[in-house]
Amino acid sequence: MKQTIIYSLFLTFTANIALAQDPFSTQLDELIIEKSKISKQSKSQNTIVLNDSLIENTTGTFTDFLQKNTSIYFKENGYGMVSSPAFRGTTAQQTGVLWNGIKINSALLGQTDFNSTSFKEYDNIVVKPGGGSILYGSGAIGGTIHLNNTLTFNKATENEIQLNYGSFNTQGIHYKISTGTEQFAVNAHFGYNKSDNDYEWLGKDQKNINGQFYNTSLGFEVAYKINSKNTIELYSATYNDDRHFALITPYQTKTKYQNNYYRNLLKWHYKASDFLNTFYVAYIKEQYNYFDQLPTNSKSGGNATTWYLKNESFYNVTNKLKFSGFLEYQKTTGEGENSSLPFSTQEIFAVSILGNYDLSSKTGFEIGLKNEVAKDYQNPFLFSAGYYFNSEKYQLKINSSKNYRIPTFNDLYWQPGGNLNLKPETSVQFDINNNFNYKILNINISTYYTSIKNMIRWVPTNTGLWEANNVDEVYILGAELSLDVQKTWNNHTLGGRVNYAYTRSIDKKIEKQLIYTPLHKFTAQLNYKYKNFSVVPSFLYIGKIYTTSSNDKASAINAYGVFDIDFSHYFNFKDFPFTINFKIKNIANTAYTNMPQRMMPGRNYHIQIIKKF
Amino acid sequence: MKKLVVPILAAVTLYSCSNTDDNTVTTNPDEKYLNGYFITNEGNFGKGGASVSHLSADLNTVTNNIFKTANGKDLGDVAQSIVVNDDYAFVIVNNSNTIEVVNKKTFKSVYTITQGLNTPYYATVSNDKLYVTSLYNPTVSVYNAKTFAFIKTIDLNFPATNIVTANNYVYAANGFYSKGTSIEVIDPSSDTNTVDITFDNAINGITTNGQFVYALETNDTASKISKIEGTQVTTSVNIAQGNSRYLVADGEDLFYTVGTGIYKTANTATSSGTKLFDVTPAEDGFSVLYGFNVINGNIFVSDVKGFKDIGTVTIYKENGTVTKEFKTGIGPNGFYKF
Repeated sequence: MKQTIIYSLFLTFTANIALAQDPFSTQLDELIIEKSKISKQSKSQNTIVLNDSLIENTTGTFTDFLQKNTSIYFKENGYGMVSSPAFRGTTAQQTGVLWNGIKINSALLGQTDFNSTSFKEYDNIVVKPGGGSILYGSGAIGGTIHLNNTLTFNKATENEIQLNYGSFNTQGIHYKISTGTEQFAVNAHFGYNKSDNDYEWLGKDQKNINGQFYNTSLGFEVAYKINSKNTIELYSATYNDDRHFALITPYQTKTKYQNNYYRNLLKWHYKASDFLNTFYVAYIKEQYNYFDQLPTNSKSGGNATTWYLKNESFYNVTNKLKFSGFLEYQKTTGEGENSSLPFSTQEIFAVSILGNYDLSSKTGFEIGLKNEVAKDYQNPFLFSAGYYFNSEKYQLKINSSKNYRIPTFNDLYWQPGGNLNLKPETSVQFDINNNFNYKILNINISTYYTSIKNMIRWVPTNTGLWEANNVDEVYILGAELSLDVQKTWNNHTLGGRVNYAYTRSIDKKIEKQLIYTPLHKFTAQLNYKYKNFSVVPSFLYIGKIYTTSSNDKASAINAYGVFDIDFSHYFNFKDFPFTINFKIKNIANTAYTNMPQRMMPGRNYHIQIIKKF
Repeated sequence: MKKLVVPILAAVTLYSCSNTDDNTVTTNPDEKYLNGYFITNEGNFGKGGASVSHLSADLNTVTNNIFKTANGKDLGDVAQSIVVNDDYAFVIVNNSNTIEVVNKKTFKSVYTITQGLNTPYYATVSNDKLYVTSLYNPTVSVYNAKTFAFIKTIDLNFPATNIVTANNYVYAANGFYSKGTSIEVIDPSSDTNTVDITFDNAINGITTNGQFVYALETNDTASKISKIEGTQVTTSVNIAQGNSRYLVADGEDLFYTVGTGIYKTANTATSSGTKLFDVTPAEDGFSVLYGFNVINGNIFVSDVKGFKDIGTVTIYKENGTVTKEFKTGIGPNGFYKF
């Protein structure tokens, strides 16, 4: 556990950029983490780790958390409402989300709603920009977001309670316990969030009506060490939410959405001297209800159940040459409830092979190939290739890959409009990533080019019905810059972190910027710490976004900047030490939206107590 | 409104409203919109970009966003349709659950109907009363068309889409999504629905020339046009093509569409139509013929650009030549002249 604490602190105080050296990988027996091996298979890709103390100190939605801490742009239908990412200028369905190593994007919609996803129970959240379909499957076009729990043997019992309360009657309770023996490692956690979310619409004579929401999450993880070679892990999570959809005009019919999921994952690790095998079995159930005419009980819904089997083998042929192979089988069944999705089944079988060769202690290259077989659509053959160079002061990663996003259940089977002639969306990407370290300064610069074709969109057809079709082609030219600096003297620590993303995401046919994709996104954070007190002012800037494909200026949404500030104090009382955070969000009371007519909150206040024992 | 087929997709997909061609040239400010054509622009579902455009009677001058210009406020979410009586135009704003009542000549707001509405769809005026269908409810809501007071709700067997008035009856056609295959006839003197005219398939178009009512029913392989006098079908004619849409009456003619083809037949409903021409396909390969109407020989067709962009309207002559093409708001879906 010490290692994790040191690692966390290291990341808190320096950077959120994980370097190529992964401190976990050498101690698999002590610490088990999903990405330990798999990340070694993508040395040529950039990885950003958002660690536990950052997660712990955050209140609000998962969207808030990622909007503030990464270069991913999120659009929200008002605070807490449907939220979808445009990661490196792509669509919501082109962002892969993985839970402890398995993909959890909705089988029905293909995307993850980041305001319908809990995040506080994870020990770290890893963001990997760029294509990763060989490792992470469908949807890993813009990038992947990994939600990870860590399990530790021989761990002293640790409890943590977080309570928060804030404006608009926003409340949250989070509890975590983790413990370990020689043979067992156990975590359990519970979370609850609610908000009336009835903020004033700044500059308009209206409140946010029907925006209230609550969600609960419950989960546990257990690892059992059978012997020195075999370890079994079990992960389980349930989540329920009930979210009203805020109105944009006062007499609109009120609606709400309930989202439930249930996930179970069993992993079996087998480790020999040159060989590591991990076998996964996962069972995932997702279900939603859409109430279209509140307060009546009129509703429609849908559900999908996925069985997922995967075998990962890692083999060190020599010190320099490493091979790994994945076999995957996935079966998803889904159907609508009082909706137009007939009972449908999707089966996917996939084989991947990856190779890593170290030319020297500093450089090497890697190659990956993947083939997938599925009914109802033709899967592309995928590849990836990369080169890496690591030295203390400079790291270079070059990567190219072909990636894809399969049609969703709704795209294929919804009646009418589902289209069995759809092709998967495919992308080709080229990415160069530079990392510089100078004592207190860390700079990362990524540049990339992505080309996407066969993008699936629902369009109205001449029959009068809407239908899914492969319509768009897009190319994206982008750059991401991050800069971290940290200086400590006496009892003072002063640091800063800046992220900037430049994204030209262009519709090929008309050579215009994609709608809802800002050209510029900028975040900045300062942190100053003196003994037990710290203050963290932060700033988020989103450039102008267009809402029409012709980039008509009159309907564009203006650029905005939002200031927040967090104060934190650790009260080191002998019998009862605890931390208090006080946050002011949108200090300048800026009126802004990132979707048309969907006003976001003005200045708001939150207080949080964190108690560990 | 057809986007409700995929409400969640719709909630996640994108867009808004605009007013690029805001030509505010007026001759008589009191009778700005006395003549000419109105165009309803849905806006993007959930994004509040509904608007109304006006086209002058000589087809030369387009004025977009006339509701906002006249009233300084947004129209709301999903402008579905417009009907008029002698003084007022009633703009049905589907997802806002409102009917904006405006002065027909100036488009100045007179009243906003909010009572008794559940996602209003189409409307008609008869006997100084306004009859409004609902997307979800199998009902027609009735209002006083002069005081705008809510009168009552008439129950139907299935939700109705379009609704028309002729010969002292109100005809509510079961919608394409309601599973119903009837025209439910309302007697406006008693406001009761006592007669249903049944068909084999869903009604995909209903229209009137003031004297008779015409219904277009269709399935995937064939269609039929029926002429209704009072509460009886008097003639019908089979059409070989399936998935035909948009029956409209103009003068002595009836027009309908199949795919991108525009067809015409006589309003005696005794022979299947002849094809006039194909409209120009949309840039995205889809999205064209989202809206269709024929008024005074002018064939109006809209391309909604997948709701990703400002829509365009093209006016054709019967021989397929283009008279006029112009930009409107997001999602132009209906054309009206009063």
